[in-house]
Amino acid sequence: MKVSINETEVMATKAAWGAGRPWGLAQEAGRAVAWLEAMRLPGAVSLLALLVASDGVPCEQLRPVATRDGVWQGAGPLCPVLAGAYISDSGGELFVSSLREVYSPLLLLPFASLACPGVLVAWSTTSIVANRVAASVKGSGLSDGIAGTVLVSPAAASEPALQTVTHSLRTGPVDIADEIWEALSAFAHRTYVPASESSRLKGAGAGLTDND
Amino acid sequence: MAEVKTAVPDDMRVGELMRPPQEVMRLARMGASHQTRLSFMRAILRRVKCEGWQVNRTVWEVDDNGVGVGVYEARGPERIYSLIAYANDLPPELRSDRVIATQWDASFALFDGVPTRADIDRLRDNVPKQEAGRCASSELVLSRANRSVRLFDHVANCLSQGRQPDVAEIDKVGYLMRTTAVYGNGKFGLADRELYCMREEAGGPFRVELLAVWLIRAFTVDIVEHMAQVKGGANAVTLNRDIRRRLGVGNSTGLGMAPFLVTHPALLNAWMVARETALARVRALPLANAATTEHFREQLQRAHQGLARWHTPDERQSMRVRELAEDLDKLKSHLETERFDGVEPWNELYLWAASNLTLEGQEAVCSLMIEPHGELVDDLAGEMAADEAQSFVIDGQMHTANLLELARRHFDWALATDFASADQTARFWYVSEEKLEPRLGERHEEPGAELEQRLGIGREVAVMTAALEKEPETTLLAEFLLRHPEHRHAARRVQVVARLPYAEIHDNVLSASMMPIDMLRCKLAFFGASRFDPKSDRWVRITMYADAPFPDEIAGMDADDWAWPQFDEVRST
Repeated sequence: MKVSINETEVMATKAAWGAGRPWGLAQEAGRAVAWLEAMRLPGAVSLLALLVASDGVPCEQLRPVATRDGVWQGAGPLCPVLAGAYISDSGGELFVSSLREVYSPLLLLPFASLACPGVLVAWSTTSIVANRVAASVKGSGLSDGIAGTVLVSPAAASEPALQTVTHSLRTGPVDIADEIWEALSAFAHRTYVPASESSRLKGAGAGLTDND
Repeated sequence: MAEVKTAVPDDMRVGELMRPPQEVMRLARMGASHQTRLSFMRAILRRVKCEGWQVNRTVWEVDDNGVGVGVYEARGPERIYSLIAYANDLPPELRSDRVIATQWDASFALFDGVPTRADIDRLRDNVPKQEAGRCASSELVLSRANRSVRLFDHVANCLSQGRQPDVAEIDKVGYLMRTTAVYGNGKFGLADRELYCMREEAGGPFRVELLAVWLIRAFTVDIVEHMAQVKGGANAVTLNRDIRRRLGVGNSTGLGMAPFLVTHPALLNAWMVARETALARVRALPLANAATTEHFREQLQRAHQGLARWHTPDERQSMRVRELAEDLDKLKSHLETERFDGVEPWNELYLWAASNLTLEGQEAVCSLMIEPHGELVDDLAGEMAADEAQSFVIDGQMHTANLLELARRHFDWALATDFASADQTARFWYVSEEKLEPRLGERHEEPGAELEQRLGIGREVAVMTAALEKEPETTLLAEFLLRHPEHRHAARRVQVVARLPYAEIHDNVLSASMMPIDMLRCKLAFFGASRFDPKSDRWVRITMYADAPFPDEIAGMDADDWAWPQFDEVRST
């Protein structure tokens, strides 16, 4: 279905929250997916794959525990939103990093490219050079559900690869497959509180006539 | 009223006279907000007038039952925006202003450009369904309205019999139709704000939404005149223009709007800074000239008399309106001997108000003081937009000790709150499964608190502060947040308010004594609304654009002299 960028961000945020990410991290997921979709990169489907694969797994087990010497590793596969938020928090201090086992590696891209003037994000099937508004994608694994090793490193904005831009930031609406949207909606749905008779009346504070 | 050049105040002094966030960002004061000349409706009409916009009704296909479509084209210097209005014949049992309603007396879309017949047909299948339909990026705004049955029927009957309606009846209600939600920014497939925020006329906050409301006001009169014509035929007359101008558009707003001020900290800061800067500039003026003091006295008189048209059966608000009337009486007595010849005469007046009047009165005086100083403050209306994304990124290179210090400085009110007490956590905000709308629950009585929305920023910061106190001082925030992503939201809010000091409400929105209508009123006052009429502690009716020029008369009228009713209008009540 055709959706606005804002709807995409709201949906991704709610879905991530519904899947158990803390609110502040869910906001990062929303922003990342909105940026990817605005680039016409498969952000929504990547988030869905992440949420399905890591459903019920606490953040504790999804974060890199060792981040020394440029190698990031966790107890199991890493959450790209947690790792991405760490990249974002580190701002311009981004160094060459190698991430061992990452769910939906595409989701690292927005964090790296919004934090650095130019970045390279690469895994076995795919290599992307990007800045805030454009990307050059090579390879076929944009929607890979998991990557063995992901390399994240600074890249000069003048990198030859960016001269063949394949994706650039555009306004909405964007097309997201109905089944992806519905699956994300199912995660978002977990955040809603069922109504009762009393909440119907009290919760919104209405209950009076409007025929006046 | 002609404006006379006033001496420019000293920037340093303006800074000194800014009311601090600790004073301004309290819910009690925010809930006493009044419109000012920076309010969005005021700014829109100044632009429409100044740029000579033309509004034409280009389609009117409405049948004898009042069912059909009308299109209003608003042509500015660069672009055309068209309101498409679908009129319905709604049985009374279906008339509800609540979001849970599924049908309305009228529904609207603001179209970007001039709609084709195909657009009008496409939208006829979607706009009347509101939340259940889909719009496209060619539509900027989606809204709907119900009749005020009592007034609509009265006006239609009178006009059909060839006479004008009773002005007292009009003033009792104030509008023919009441909008509920006015949706924009990508909701239900509408255009994202990014598509038009770079446009001169549409970049300010809520510009397209409130342009749509101004056009809806014209539609409400057209449809009542249409029904009168159907009923009365040759006997029917149109509304007298002076009576017509008394009509605004109603709006009924509930909890859906309340979280907005919490979820848009950068925007809230921009609005508050603009208004507070305007007030501080006026207070910092070393002299008051005769033209501005005369303008002030005249507007005060109008504001005072205009209170006769602020009707509300709500006990708390009607008491406050009475107190406001007493405040304005006191102010008038005070002004009998006031010559505005002291050092910083406006500041003296402000300080007098701050120590003698209620919050309603104080905020009304702020609005009145800003009013005659358009030349000094109107530029600020152009600085009220903000992009939340600009303040989203967390600086993780900060040490946790620094964040702790910022939290203590900017959230001292929250750190002094006892969140272990039942009263301070009595409420929880949630989204209802049924309507996907924000609601307020009683934490200690109702289920669902584990799904509460993260609006209690003060409590989140208090919890984070306790965790930060256990960290070594030199831990990098990025490291801390990697281990504790649950504090990410609070950390972001602390960093935002450290840069944007008016970004946070300095009150606990989870407390038993919190009144959601205070948040609603603050936001609606920035829109330019008036005659706040609370229907409970969590929803409110208001009037928009009352006394403002209509599209077909704005070219020949002062577009900026409608915040308080004119004397002659008041006298005829």
